[in-house]
Amino acid sequence: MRRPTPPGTPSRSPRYMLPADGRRLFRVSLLVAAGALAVAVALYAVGLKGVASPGALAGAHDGIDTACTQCHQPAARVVDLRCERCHDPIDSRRFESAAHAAATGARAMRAAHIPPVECASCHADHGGRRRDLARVDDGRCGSCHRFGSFASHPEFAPIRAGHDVYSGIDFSHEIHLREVGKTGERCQACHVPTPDQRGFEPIAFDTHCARCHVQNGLLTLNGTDLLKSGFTPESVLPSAALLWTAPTRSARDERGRVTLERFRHRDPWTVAVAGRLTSAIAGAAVASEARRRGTEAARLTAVAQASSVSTLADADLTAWLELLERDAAVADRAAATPAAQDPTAGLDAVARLIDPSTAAAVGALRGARPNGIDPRLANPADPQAVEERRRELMALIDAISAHGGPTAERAASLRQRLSRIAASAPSAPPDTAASLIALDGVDQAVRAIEPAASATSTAQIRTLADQIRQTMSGGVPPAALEPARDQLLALLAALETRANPPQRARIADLRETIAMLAAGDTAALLGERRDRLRDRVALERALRAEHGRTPVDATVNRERAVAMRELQQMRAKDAPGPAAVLGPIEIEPARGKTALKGLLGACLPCHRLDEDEAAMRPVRAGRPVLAATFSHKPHTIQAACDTCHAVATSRAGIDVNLPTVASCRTCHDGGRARADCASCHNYHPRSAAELVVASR
Amino acid sequence: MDAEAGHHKPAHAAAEDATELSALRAYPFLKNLSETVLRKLRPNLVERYYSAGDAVLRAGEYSDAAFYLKDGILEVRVTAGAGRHAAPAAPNRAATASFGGGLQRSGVAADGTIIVADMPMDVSINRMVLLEPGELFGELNALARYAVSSDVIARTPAVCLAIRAPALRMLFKQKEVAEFKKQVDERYRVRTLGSHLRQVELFAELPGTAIERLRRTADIVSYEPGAVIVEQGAPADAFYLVRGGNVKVSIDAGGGKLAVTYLRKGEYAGETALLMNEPWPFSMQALEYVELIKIPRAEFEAAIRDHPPVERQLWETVVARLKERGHASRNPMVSQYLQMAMDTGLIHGESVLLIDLSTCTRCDDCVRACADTHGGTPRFVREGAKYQHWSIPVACYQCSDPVCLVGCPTGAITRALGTLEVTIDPGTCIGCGNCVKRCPWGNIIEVPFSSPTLNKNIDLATKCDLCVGRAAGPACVQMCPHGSATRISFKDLATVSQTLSS
Amino acid sequence: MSPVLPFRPKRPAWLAATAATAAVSVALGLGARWWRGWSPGDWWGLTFGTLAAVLMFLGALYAGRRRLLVPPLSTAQDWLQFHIYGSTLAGVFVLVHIGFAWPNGQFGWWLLGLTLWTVGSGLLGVLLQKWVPALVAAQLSVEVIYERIPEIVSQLQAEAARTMEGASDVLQRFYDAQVQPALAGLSPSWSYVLDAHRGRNERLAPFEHLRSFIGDDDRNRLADLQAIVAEKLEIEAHYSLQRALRLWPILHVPPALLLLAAIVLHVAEVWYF
Repeated sequence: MRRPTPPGTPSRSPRYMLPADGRRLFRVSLLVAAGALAVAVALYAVGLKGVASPGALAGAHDGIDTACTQCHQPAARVVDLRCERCHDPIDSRRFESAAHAAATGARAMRAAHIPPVECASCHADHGGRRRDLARVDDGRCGSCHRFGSFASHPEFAPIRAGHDVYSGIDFSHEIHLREVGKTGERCQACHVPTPDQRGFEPIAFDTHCARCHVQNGLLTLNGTDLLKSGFTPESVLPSAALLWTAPTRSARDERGRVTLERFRHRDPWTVAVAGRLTSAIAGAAVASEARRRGTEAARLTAVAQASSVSTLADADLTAWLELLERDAAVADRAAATPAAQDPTAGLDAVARLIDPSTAAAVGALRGARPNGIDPRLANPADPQAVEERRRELMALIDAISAHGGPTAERAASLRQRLSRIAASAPSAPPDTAASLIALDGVDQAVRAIEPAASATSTAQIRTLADQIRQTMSGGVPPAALEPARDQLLALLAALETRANPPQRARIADLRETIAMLAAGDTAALLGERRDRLRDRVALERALRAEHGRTPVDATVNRERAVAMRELQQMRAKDAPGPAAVLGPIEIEPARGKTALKGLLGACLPCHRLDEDEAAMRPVRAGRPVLAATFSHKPHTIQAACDTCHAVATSRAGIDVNLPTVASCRTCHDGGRARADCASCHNYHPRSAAELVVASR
Repeated sequence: MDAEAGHHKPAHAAAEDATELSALRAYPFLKNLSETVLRKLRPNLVERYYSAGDAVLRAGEYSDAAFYLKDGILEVRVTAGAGRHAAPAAPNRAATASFGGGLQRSGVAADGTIIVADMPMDVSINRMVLLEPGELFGELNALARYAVSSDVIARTPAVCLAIRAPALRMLFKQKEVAEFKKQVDERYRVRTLGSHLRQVELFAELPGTAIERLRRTADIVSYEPGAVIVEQGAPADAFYLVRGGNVKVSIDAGGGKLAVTYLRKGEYAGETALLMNEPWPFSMQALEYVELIKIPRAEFEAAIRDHPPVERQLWETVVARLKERGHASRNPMVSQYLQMAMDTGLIHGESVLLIDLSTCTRCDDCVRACADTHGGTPRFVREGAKYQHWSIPVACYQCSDPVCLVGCPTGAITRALGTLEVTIDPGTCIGCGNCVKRCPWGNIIEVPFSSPTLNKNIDLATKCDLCVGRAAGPACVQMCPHGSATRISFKDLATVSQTLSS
Repeated sequence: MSPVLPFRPKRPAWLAATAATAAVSVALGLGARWWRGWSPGDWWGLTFGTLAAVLMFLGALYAGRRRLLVPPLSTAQDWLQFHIYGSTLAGVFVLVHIGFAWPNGQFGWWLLGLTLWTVGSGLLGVLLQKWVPALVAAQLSVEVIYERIPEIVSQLQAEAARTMEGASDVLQRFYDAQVQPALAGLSPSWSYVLDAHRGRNERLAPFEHLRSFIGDDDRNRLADLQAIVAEKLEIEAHYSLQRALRLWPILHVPPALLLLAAIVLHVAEVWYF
């Protein structure tokens, strides 16, 4: 019989069977894993920091290698100051958003309150050697600008704003195309491409317009008829002969007015007389414009003479750091009083170091504090003060609506808007900004209602708005600040000639601070700037101790060169004009405007007056849009000008002949042409000088 | 065991032989027996002497002898909390818990009376119950291996004749003893059959007169192991109520018998056949020594028909039974398992550990878990018989009538009243090995142990104790990562079909 | 045995939930990547990364659960299912976390490699642990405990020797040539994993061949020897299969713990820098 195979166990064990200990594998593996962890940490501690790197650094950052603290601050993310140590050695802060830098007025205030985007959130390294750090994904832009892609890009801002920013000329493309077309030429007759074909040469009267509009050196409208002025009171015309030939006067009429003819383009005599009239009508505006340009020049100078923290010696760095910390302590102590923003505090220390004799000048300066604030407005953002100002504005608006007529309803709506402005504490900047923006709006609306005849009221409103703005932001009225500032700048220039490098750096910093002091700057902003500077110096000292100096000379030199060039261009434009030759004239603004209009009668067929009718608008050749870069070259070789620019029907220079976003999309759809953000927009200005100019 | 407290005179050889025999003949039921028979019986007949206060039997222990009280007064006592224990549930059975499921007693009557199967009368907490000379008690404990239900204490100095099980069986077969047996049965009938019948759900609502009638007309019959009680197809002529022992119920299928279910003490059969007036749809066979109460057809019908609520309940029971039977015959797998369980003895188990070999990865986590719960020594071996894809490891089955309990000299191995687990107390065990030998499947294994009570090394008997005291239940089941280990009772048909046939 | 049956999931509801979650996460990840660019340090990336790490650590607790009996928190089976589904989901989350792009540096490759290996070996283990028991249950009738196999084989050898008492020379020669070597040692083979009866017919063929050359007495003995050798073959199959099941943890546990150590390092670094 075949022995069966037992189902189940063949034989029984008499004892219990203890299974093998299953924990052994786990314990051994745990030991191995813990060991590996310990080894990794040990390697890192010893100095082989490559263990902790999540990926290779980009080729451009090869110099950093495993010096982690050059970028990382342990237990914190990458801090921007560390990037700026190499990439913005002169602390121009141009790596903050350019679009925000290019905003002016209310938009600037708004932009200032948007939290800055960290460098590392768009330019993240550790992505491999071939990573292009400068390239940023559209998705990153999309995280704030929520339209996602070019396909949903909103209409271009200038078109949306609906008003022209550029042209001071009243120009009809329609007529000119027709006339020029008769000679067989088209756009290229006037619009000559620049050598790099990105844009076009500015249109110069003498090159382009003179061909038809000048006859025998004299201005004509259509080649034959000489242009004449309007009626100008003779009293405003200079009696004595000037250096330049005057246009021919016609006979005087019974009201003492004359007309002039035989003008040249940019007739120096006319320009001088008009300039004098402008100064008489709107002296303040002229002065303020001059100041603004002065500020800009000061800032450009600061850049042009900038020295980098990296170039200082160790001992100087330490000394400067102590100075800054003392400043900060002083500022903190004095923070309670509105007189906190005193750039002269540091100046005092430097001055004493360099030349004790300057102490007196500084002392005198400090006596004349730049905070001559109206005591009624002494308390920043005092709700009561704001309330008073608001009531005054209301009264003004009531006066306007008392005029009656169609303006009454507009005034009513203005009053409503004004009542919604609430005074808020300066510690809540967004509200302040909002209120100021609202005030701005009121300002513009009032201006829109009021015709030029009651310009007085609008000027008063604007002054009041200015004061409120300054009060609410705790700043200084311009009138009080300017003299002090000029003095300070002069003193600094004198000191600089006798200073050694660390002191020069200090002086440069002071100059920057003072130059940036504009009406409306707050103590908080200045304090912030000083703190930032202190952090920067401290960081430089720490990192230099660990890693040595950074080679930034090339960058610094480039920044300075660009700034210098820009400065020269500006100075060329600001050369004292003919108006300086004539003395001032006393005339009532209303009459002055009439006189000016009459005098410029020959110019007005083409030129336009500004909104106050106090001067001619400056003619700026089409400035490229700063918020985007654009090159005409790839477009002009593929299409004719009128594919995008609809000028055949354009009759006024205020027409914005910019193409709409829809016309760009016909080719820029991602397939036929690139449609990513980076192909048109620059986030950062290309240089510190561009940053200064952009915030013009 | 305290039953040994009384000293006894074992039967010696020759010289005292005649004296012995005549001493034995003093007992009325032994009087008329022939000498041959008496001699055969003699080794299993022991006279025992008790002083006042000695315990003859203790509740919860297992006895292998019936006692005949010759002299003296004995008190049958039950402790206060004892009656409250419910028997382990016998789920899905139409008639449940009549004279107490797996153990010895059922519910408590309103006046505190507790019905016990192994004493000749009902006992009560409130009343003193006394046994007088001439009483026979404990025969069910001996024959059907019940645990003793109550304490039996001697009030006065007493003399008992202990009749061990083999003698008991032989005795009841002798026709000379028939008279005696009738007396015993009559006493049972008078005293306790009525209340026992009451315990059957069917008869619970019957009025006293009907019960009385049933009591008078019921027969008490017994069967040897393997004897056929009824044959399938024979006319159904009686209602059977199981008083003690296990009965196998099977149907004819394909030339053999297919086990359908089995009946325990307290369960009954035949109501369906009687009600539907059909022949026996199944066969019944005694698995072991069985005592049945047989109620003739006419009496049964009379009792039921006169009482509509009872009849309705009967119909409900019938329907349940039919479903169960139909289920079993539809699903031959269940029958196969049941057959296997009966053949191998698994049917006795209240909780059998099964391992599904088609999902078991032999990781030994169950054994480790058992070892961790029991201080480093597991209580089962992952070896054993295999049936289809199930392995039945060597682990205690927690039998409902555990044989291992018999013969333990110290009472270390016990089953607490109303619980499932049979446990061995390491402090009391002396390592004699009786239980190890007795277990038919070798589920008790000895382990070297340093006994604190005995101050020496012994071979401690250990077995699976269902992880008594562990909140989450048996560790083996809980710790199997694949859910391959289960514990079932083969008496629970529903679980069987659900678990094993899937 | 049906090839599909052993691979049925024990918790189909959990499988469906895991698959759905994985699909949704992948969709979210791809969507976010297309719409606004992806960086693992981004808000999205961090969420998925953290979830993945948490799931992995919780899953690793399973190893502890197997040993800890107190307090009783559900069954070991529940924990194992959670470990399997949770860790697979964690693997998917890791892929979403890195933006479906290749890692940038050496450490990144270590993390990804360990993750894929651990999840892969885990799933292999699931397959193995479903397949092998079903195979054994279907094809083998003998059941042995791994540690007792040598003892049982020596018992078989003794039994064969006993059977050979009084055998003829032919049979004796056959015994020396075929049976004793067959019973001598254990030769585990990976081919048993596919079919537990592999090679059985070939190895038993010599018995059939000899049958016709010997007398009746010997035929009984031969039949017994054949049964003994058949049993030994089954035990050998058991040995191979149970050994395979025991070797698998070496593939899975050490890389898993290394992965956890790497995750600790990774989280510490990200935190620190």
